[in-house]
Amino acid sequence: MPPLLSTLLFALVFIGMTSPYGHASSNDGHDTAPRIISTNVCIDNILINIFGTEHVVAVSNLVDDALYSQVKFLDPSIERISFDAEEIFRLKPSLVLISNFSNHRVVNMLKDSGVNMVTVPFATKLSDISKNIQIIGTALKQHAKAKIAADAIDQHIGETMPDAGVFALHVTSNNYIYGKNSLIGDAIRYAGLSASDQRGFGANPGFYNSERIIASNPDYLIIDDINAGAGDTVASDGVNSPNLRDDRYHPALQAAYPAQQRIKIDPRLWSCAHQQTPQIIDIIKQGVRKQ
Amino acid sequence: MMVKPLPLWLYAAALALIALSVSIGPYKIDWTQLAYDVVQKNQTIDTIVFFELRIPRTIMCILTGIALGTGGAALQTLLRNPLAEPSIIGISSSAALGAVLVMSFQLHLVSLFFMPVGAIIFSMVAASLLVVISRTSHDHVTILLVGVGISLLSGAATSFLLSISDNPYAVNEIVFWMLGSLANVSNDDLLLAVPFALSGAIIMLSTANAQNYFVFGGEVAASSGINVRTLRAKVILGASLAVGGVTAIIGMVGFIGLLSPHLVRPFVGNEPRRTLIWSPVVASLLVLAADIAIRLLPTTNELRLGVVTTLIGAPLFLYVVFKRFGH
Repeated sequence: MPPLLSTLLFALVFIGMTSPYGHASSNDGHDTAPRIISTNVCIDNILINIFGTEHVVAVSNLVDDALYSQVKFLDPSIERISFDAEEIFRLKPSLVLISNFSNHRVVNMLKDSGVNMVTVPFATKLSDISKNIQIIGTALKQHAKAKIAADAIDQHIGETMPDAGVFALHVTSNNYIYGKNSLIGDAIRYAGLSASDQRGFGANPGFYNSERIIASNPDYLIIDDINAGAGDTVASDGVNSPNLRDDRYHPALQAAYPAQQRIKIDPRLWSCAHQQTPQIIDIIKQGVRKQ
Repeated sequence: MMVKPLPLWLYAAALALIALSVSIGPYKIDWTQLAYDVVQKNQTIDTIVFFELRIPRTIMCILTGIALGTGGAALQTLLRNPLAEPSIIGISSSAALGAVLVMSFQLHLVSLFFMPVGAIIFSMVAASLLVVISRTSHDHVTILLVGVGISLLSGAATSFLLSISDNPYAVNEIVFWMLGSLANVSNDDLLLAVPFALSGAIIMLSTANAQNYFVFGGEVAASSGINVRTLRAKVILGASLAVGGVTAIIGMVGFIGLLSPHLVRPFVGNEPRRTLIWSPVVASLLVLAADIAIRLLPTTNELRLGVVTTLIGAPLFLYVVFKRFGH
């Protein structure tokens, strides 16, 4: 064998033996305690904040990022993982919580290996929040806790207000408009206003140019602002994302929609469904009432 | 520099396209009201749409055409390759890499000025590398392949930056920016692009007379008293400034720089000097026409200019290749 090839092989074997990923988990499979893995930051939010960390061995690697996560001060001994089959096998889980958008190849691999998985669908309506809580609660066999949390959220959401004929359009700073199946669109409808799908934008999301947005003539422009805040309910520690500031919007939109016609919302309230998400309804109602 | 006057129909086409560009859009401008508001100095939705959206977009169309048209014509002569075009030989993708690097490190949020600077530096490196290769090899295919290699390398580096990015918002923004679009160009964007794109185009146009001597190679040009080194430096600097400045703002728009010199040549007798002068004019008309077509298409989401120009330009590129190499 040429020396270069043998050196390379030796190096690979050495790296494999010394790498932390080269070792099997300390769990030998005889331990009967549940071992739960959450693989998505939206699931992390509900799992940790409602059901706690008991038996949780790993969560998604975005859990500590306050830009997306609502989880604060999570025990560092809980592993942060990406949605990778080998990482999940290594942890010998008894339950893996996945999303309907999880990589299907990894999902099939886990399914073929007999890993117990429960799908928590990505929430596209406010009513999905309590459903997701119930799904996780059932998987964890914590029905009572799930029911209390789900009922509280359903009560907060309440009934859809009658459409007052006022059009509120949510636009991200790069002119993206979420369609009918979005938490922000649903919240606008629950607040008693017309959302984008009711005013000519169709059900599907997409990027629209500023002129199209102005031409649709919304009464209110709902814009993202990471500094909008929502009391102390949204984790803001260490978040510095100029991408999500309100001054990132096109100058024409800023000129056409002065402050009194803008409603600012922290995007972390709608990017993932969690207990604080229904607050969007209150913020929109307050924004409209203020005018 | 003596140039034949622009054919009348080109003037008419230019005026018609500019008029269409400022008048077409989803918002219906009340022109009488607009005129009144302008006189009264009122800020209304009509004035905002006209002055903050349509005018900057139309000017950016023209500027893009000037940058890519001069870049394509100058590079085709310098590299003595009819297939040389900023997007094919890696200059646009290198400019995109520079801009993506700036976006990845969020320097554009500190100052937008970093975007064109990053794009220009990287496009300059790519253009310099190509010129060095063109001095050692006169083979069209070699130069083209080196350009394709630079383009692939820049693309891979861009993909690498995207794959290691931990910010989905930034990834989303970068991906859509790279597709190239004139939608949402603002006056602030114009202020950033104009100095670089125009100075780059002027530098390239200043080489117009010397370009005629370059058709037969550097040695012939040098024997005719042309400072070849200065000429090369000017074209590299000019193309990098123009292409980098425009790419940083609107993303990658391919094939305009390839198409326009080829469209111009039959009318100017294949003379590099005149090709260089008229190519930006035709390129601007092409960009204006493509952008107007995009706005008229009944699609839910506006198509991206870079996608449209590539869909039209790529078959033409293949046509030129087959015609050139006799397949």
